[in-house]
Amino acid sequence: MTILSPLNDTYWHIQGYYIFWMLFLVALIIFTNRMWILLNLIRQGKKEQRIDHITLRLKTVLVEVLLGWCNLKRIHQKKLSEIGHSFMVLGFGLFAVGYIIFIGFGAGFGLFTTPSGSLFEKICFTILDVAGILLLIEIIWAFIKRYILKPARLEESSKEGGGLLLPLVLGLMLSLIIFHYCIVGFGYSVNDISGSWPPIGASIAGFLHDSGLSKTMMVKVYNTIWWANYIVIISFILYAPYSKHLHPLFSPANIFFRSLNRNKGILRSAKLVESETFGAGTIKDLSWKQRLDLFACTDCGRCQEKCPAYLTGKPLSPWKVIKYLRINLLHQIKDKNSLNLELVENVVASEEAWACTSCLACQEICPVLNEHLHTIMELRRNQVLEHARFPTELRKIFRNTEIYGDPLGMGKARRLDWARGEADVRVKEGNSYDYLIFVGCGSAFFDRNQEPIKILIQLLQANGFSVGVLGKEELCCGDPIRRAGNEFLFQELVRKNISHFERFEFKNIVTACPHCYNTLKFEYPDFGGSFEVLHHTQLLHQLFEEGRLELKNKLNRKVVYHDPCYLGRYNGIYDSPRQLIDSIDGVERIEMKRSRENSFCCGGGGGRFWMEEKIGQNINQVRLEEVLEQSPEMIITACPFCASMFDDALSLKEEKLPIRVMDILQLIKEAGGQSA
Amino acid sequence: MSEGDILKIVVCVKMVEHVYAPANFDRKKEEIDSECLVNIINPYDEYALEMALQLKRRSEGSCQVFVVTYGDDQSKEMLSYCLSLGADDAYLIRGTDFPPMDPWNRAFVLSCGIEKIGFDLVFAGKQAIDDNFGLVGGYLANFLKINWISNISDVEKFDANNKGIVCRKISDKTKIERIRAAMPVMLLTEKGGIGLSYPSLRGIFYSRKKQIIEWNRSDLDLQSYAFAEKKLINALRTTPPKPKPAFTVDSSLSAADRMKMIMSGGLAKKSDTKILEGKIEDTVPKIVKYLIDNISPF
Repeated sequence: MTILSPLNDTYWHIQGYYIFWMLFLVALIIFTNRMWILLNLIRQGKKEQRIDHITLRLKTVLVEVLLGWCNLKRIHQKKLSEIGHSFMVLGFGLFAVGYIIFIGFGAGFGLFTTPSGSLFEKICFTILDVAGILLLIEIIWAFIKRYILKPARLEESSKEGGGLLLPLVLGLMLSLIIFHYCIVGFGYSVNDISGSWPPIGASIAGFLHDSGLSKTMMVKVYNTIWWANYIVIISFILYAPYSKHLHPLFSPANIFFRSLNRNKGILRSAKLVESETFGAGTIKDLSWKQRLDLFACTDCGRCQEKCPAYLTGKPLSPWKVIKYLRINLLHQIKDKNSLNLELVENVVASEEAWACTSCLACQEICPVLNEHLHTIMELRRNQVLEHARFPTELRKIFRNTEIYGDPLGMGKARRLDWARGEADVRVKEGNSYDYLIFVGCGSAFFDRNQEPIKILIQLLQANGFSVGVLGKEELCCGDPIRRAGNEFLFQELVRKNISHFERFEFKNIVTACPHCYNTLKFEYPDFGGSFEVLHHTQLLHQLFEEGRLELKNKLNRKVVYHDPCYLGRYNGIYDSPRQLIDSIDGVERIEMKRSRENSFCCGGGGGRFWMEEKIGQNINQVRLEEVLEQSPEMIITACPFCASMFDDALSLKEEKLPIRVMDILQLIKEAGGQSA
Repeated sequence: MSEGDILKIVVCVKMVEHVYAPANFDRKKEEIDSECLVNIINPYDEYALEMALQLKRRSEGSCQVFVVTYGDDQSKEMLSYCLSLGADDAYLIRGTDFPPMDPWNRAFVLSCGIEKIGFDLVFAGKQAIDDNFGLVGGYLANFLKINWISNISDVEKFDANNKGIVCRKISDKTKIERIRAAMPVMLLTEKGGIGLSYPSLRGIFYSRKKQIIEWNRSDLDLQSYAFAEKKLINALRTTPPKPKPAFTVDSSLSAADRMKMIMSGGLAKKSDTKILEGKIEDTVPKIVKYLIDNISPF
């Protein structure tokens, strides 16, 4: 049986087969050349260890990419675009496989005739039929979304290329689906293949058969559509490496090389060697993974939509940081001088670099697991260590920490002021303790945060645990210093604190501050200080579960719980504080509009607590307004800095509101919490 | 200094023991509890150094800054901090084999050191916050036989024809007086006129490698002047510091106020305004008592 195929025809006396290969090779060469350049750009980045646990990494790629999980996993946010995009991933994934089978192997190697009309082909085409319908829905939805609904996050990327590029790309995608149906229809019709599968293709074929079109006419149309389909595919091969549509290749790679730690916010410790540059000063200083991030970005703008700095009118948008870094990186293909361009001020404004509150919302939402925060922190590191350029307030903070050991400049003489009038709880050498309480600057020096520490100590002691504090030996844990870019000072603090810890014998460290918790638990091990660290909410929850904490009072209160970023997004502790609050009789807890993974920062992280907020709205006031929508009587949180930020926001309100900001420990005390 | 020469700036610095916290004074030992003390660079000298370094940065290489101190090993850390900020050399005149020091002798020893280094401009803080004499600067200018200007808040320029313009804040610190000065001159600085810089990590590495030059009595030519072998100025008695009220950061502060409080070194606690009513004769003593109770020199 001879199969009519466009490849067997001759065009301008050349057999279609050769034209096919010529076009294909040219496209392939251009594509490979561009990819080679891009891969080289990535390869030239600084070294970074990311190739451990290969099986685990492969598994995540399979889960995240092939199953479209990257899009579906946030389905609880009820975002239709997430479902739509997973249609796109699955649909075009299947189509890509189809193209490889039927055009790559079939037409490319001249094996076109082999599967024609076979069961295999029918199954494949049936799958593609279904995929095509999903894609049609998604592409039409994408048109509606981008050009009728116009969400703010897509505004910028929709404008790219004069605003015509994306509609054109979407239009071509649409044409690919229609071409597919037509090719199946016409192909089956001209080759007289009958049957009822694939459903759409076969019904088109049946319709054509009955329409009375002449066979030569049908062959002509068939050939034209076949070549048009092929030219669209080739133009995609040529266009993709120059656009964000390369992300189907780079984002799986990015997911493969992701950080395997559950805690995505742990900063890499820098070896501060004299000969090297510190942090990211020029594009040369970005590691290969940071460069890969730039290409994996899909310009979806979700990070920008979640960024507290962006939402309160500050110049920072994590997406734009990524975008402009990518433009700068690509620029060096043409102009080698851009290699030495200072990133801050030239690519990223210094206000942008300093506006970040390190709340991790951008990384939490990023579908391709980019690490925005780390790049921003590297920029800060460079500014501080290399140029000593930073917002003026920070100089005092750094100097205070150098001289007095805490950002406020209170010094060790005032470290134990909170314990005045209490029994001496300082640890002594030789004794063994169950819990060493790391008080932290936020609790020790702010009078509003001192009570929770006292309650914690009382509760633990009542339960029969031996408890101690470092007292005057304690220094700042280093979190604000590190997030403000001063890695050198941070490392000095870490070394001093570790040497203090090592002098005493204890089982666990308990902190009342999520920042201390995060730093002590995850960032100290890099410097040889591995300790068991607990946040007080974990410990209290554990006591409660064991029945050792009794909450006997009834409190008729309406409360909201604000998730501290360093507890929630950083460490995934969402439920234990909530369960503790819920277990108090009579307390009505209301979820805020933005809570859990989606929580909105109080504005105090990333060293921002110690800086002035000059541009835009104050983040803490925006968050307070959101709290007020629920009209609670109490704002419960588990972080001294969040609590202070809320107090600040309340004190800036013109009328005095009957709302109290409390640590979860204070609530437990009001509920008559005692050891059972 | 002629054109093409290097402008040599010498900055006198002093390490002071700063009482920063509610001081526990041990009456038996006549000592302040050591945990209430920190060794820091005298804040006025910090501004002197900053002004010198600003001149250096603006001069693009035609200017060198040297720091000199009279002190002991404890001062080395401070000198190293000065080097990390950008000073070219640091000199430590060891105070071990000198007679007891008063401002006169201290100024004389420093002047010998500065003569040995060579200078076009000399900067120093107008006083040190430990003894608050405020005398060394004037004496030093006398020994060096140069003019001096006090309370400098900013230095606009110093150029090749030995002329420069300096600024000083006068009266209520809102008026600024611009003074034309000729080199060599001694400039005694005030706090707060300019922003301070912070060392870069490169500066810190530089300061670690850089050797601090140490001089003993024998290294200096002390013959040329009347070097008093005993204290000419003696403080008869220093009252022990008043215990400062313990305080923590007030939670009723707004973010901006909190920043101001931290900027001011944590001492400006916002307290409620009190309005005294009644006859002047009754209220004035109350105000005086309030001031005595609440305001301390640092």
